[in-house]
Amino acid sequence: MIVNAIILILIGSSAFFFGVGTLGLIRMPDTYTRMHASTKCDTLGAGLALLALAVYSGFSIISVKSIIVIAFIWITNPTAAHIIAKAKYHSEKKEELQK
Amino acid sequence: MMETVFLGFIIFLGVTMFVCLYRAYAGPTAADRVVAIDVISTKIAVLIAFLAIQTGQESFIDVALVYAMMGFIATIAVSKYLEKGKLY
Amino acid sequence: MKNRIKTYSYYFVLLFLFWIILSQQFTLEIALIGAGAVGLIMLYSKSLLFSPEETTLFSPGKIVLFVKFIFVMLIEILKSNWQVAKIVLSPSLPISPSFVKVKKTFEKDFDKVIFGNSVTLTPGTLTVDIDEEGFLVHALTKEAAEGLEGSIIEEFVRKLEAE
Repeated sequence: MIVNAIILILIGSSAFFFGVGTLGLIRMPDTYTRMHASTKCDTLGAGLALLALAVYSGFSIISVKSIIVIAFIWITNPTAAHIIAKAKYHSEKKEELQK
Repeated sequence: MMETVFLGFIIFLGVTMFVCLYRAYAGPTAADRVVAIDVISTKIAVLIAFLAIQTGQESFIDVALVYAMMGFIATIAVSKYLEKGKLY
Repeated sequence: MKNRIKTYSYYFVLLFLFWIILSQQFTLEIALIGAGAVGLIMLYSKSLLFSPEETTLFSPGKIVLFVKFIFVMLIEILKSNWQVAKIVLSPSLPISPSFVKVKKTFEKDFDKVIFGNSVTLTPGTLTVDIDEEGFLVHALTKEAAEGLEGSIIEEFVRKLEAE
């Protein structure tokens, strides 16, 4: 019963953060601010959802593997955001130089 | 009961994915499109992990791990192309 | 030479553990195949492995500190998500984006990576570029840009870097 409540809370907050990330992606005015919304909310949303999965399946291979997926997503997501921002920044600078 | 909640969550993820797809379609610059595709690939990785529970196939969670890696590499490749105009 | 052996043994244990988790059982055949595969992978990606000159995470004390750092980061991530949620859900969208140059630099590459990624995950900031002088950071609001000076993350990364 308590486990079910924990899973419900985790899934609910994960859905909330995924929704906020998507809304930010649509509402924000330029690329960098969109990246703020999407990166942070997606990272936490994915973490909470997979944590709910790990709690649901108890001590099994699925929970160990979903923890590995969480670690992987939490390392790669900020890195990917940084690389996109860097690419955008440098290509903008190049265009300014050409003018 | 939990299966119903998971099913609802999967449907919710699918709907938000289509909303992100609007940004990939409309985004004024290429970087916006890359951000949208990156978000979608993270969501698909989570969705595959939930499908593993929903269908009872444990090996699907490996697919989620590999999909997360592929999304990361695709993002890096496209950003590198945007920055330098070539991939190497 | 001693550094090399340290690096290789560290990575061997890490990758072998990952192999055992993926294969879900432990027999002699699996162990042999895994050892061969791990050896080939390390040979192929020799230049990508972190050596003790690039990271300080090879000593046990630093690993304990790193685990503590992860828990501090979790709280920061929760705070930053709450802040972004408040901004996105408010109808007037109260943002004032700007670029800030943070003149801080770390000697080891691994610490630069940790600091850059932590800045991306903390409230209202996003790492854009890294060069010799410091980090170029995009801030969502004015308070976020000011809050970057003397933050708890910088303190931790300095502690990680210290010998």
